[in-house]
Amino acid sequence: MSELVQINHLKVDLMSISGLIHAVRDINLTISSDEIHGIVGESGCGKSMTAKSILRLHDESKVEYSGEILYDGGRDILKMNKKDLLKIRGNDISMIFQDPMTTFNPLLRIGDQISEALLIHQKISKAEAKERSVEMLEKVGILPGAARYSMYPFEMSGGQLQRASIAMSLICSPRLLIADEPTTALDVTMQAQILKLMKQLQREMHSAVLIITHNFGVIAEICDKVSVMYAGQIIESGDVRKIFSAPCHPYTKDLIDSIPRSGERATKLTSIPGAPPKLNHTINGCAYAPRCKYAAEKCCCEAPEFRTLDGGHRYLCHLAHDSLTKGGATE
Amino acid sequence: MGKFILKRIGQLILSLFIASILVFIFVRLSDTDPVAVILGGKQTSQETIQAIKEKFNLDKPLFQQYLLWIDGLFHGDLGLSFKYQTSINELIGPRILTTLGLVSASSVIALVIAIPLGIFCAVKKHTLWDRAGSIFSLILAGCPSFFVSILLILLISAVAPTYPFTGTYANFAEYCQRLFVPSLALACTMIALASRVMRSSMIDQINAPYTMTAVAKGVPQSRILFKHNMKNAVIPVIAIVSIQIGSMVVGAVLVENVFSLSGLGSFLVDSITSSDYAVVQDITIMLVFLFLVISTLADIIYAAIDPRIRLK
Repeated sequence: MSELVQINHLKVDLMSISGLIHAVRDINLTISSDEIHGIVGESGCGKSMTAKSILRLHDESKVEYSGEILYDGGRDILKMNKKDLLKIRGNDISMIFQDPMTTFNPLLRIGDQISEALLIHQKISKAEAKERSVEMLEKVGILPGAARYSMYPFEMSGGQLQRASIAMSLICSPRLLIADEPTTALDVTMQAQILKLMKQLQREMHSAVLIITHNFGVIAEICDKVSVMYAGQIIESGDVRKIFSAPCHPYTKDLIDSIPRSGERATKLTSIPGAPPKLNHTINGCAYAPRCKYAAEKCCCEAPEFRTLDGGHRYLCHLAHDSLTKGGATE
Repeated sequence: MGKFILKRIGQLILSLFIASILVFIFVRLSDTDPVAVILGGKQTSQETIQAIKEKFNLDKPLFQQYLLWIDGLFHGDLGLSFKYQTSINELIGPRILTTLGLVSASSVIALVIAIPLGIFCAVKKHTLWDRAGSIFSLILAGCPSFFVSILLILLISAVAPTYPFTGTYANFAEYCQRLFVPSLALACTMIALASRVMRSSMIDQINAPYTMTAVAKGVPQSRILFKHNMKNAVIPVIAIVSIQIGSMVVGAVLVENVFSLSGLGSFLVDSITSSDYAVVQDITIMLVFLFLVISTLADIIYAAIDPRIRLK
């Protein structure tokens, strides 16, 4: 396993009417080839901003990046010229978006939109591109591929469109697939199918996947590694199983606790009180302190530093937790 | 697609039929006696009046008059003018050529300028270029066409005094030469409207989620703009242009007057003031026909662009 994308000290500032918003504040993230990495967090925590930064999809007249995003051990995507960036987009790194109904251009045939990426990135004939697109459609379970190739987006259902958009993003066999809430707009049965399909294709094609979600269930189902984001920072990251069984950051624990469990007949759903902080000013101390059950005095004024455990598990907290599930903080 | 076109043509014929009845009835609701118009105020005998009534089919029942009118239209015979007492075909022929030439030339000029201008402003959104484009469009939209005509005449007389932009024409080259400047004047409103609509709908398309998909796929910006965005953005422009072309036919009167061209619009106005209802009903039904043809064409273009209209 080699490091495919390495994000170092990434900061993303967004110019808005209400002033500068620090949407992503200094994150470090490594995605290895062959792994499925998940980013989880509440709405507005900067997870989607981070994902889109990898392909530099933000309107650069309104967004300012700093830090670096190294691709394949060297080239910094943030400093790349337009030409090189176009070569990477769709070919080396591709993306699936949240709402399959609006992902496709409504006026062009599904198949033509899939083969467009092939025709741009590879020197092949139109007939060959079509052949490969049909194959890809069948691979993602859209049958018969040849007939579906010439359909328009409005003729397909949401689930089928999300399959088609997976086909579109994998057509050039990218080394990294970024999926930005790929199942949020789908119903639950379709969600499971799409996740299964993504996992299966990831194994077949040996590509890395970065999946963005607010749903810990999705992470548990397909990810190898997870990074938990809060207020524009990664507050805990590591192996999914470890984090699930023994979360170390209070936010991660609260997030896991708020997953409704079947079998239990709770009178009330567990939720985290309060709301994430506004991101238009600097945050002193720990961003989670105002909502944290374990908050100590220094949490509100002193920025915490990462603590590292075995197997690359690290978390951003003042308090050393053995494991929060066993109750309480030590120190 | 073939079925769609046939359906639209069927609707066009039905609408035209209904419009022809309405036009015929409304013209006859006027209390002016056609015979008086034909006589032009002269005193005459009962026999002459009878002869006139027979000549203009005014002695027949209304229903038969309607049928005779429609029958004439089908054979390309527009009937006789009350005022001039000659065939309306001869009166209208050259005027149609002028007006249609004027309207189609200004539509082409308008689209050729407005669509690139709209795209340019959308791409340069909120920059100085975009502001300049907005101001240009606002000025064009605010200037009445006759005013622009006068300005153009002044400008051309100063810059190229030998350029012939008024008078009659003998051949096609002269025809184009005479119509160019008036067409430019007539195009102003449409340039303003169409470029504004193109700009805002292009901005919508640039911000649409599918555009980000295309960017993420590695599609170069120019290809996104022209292959993905433009096709989507042009749909509302077609709507505004098809409506605008219709009103241009009548609006052309002002420009025709300034450039002393005799067109359909000025003839319609003349005929209404002189109560020449035979001409009024002919021109009105022609305008209706033109409106219908343009909106049918617009529908067919929509369907050609958008599969959701074509296939549903």
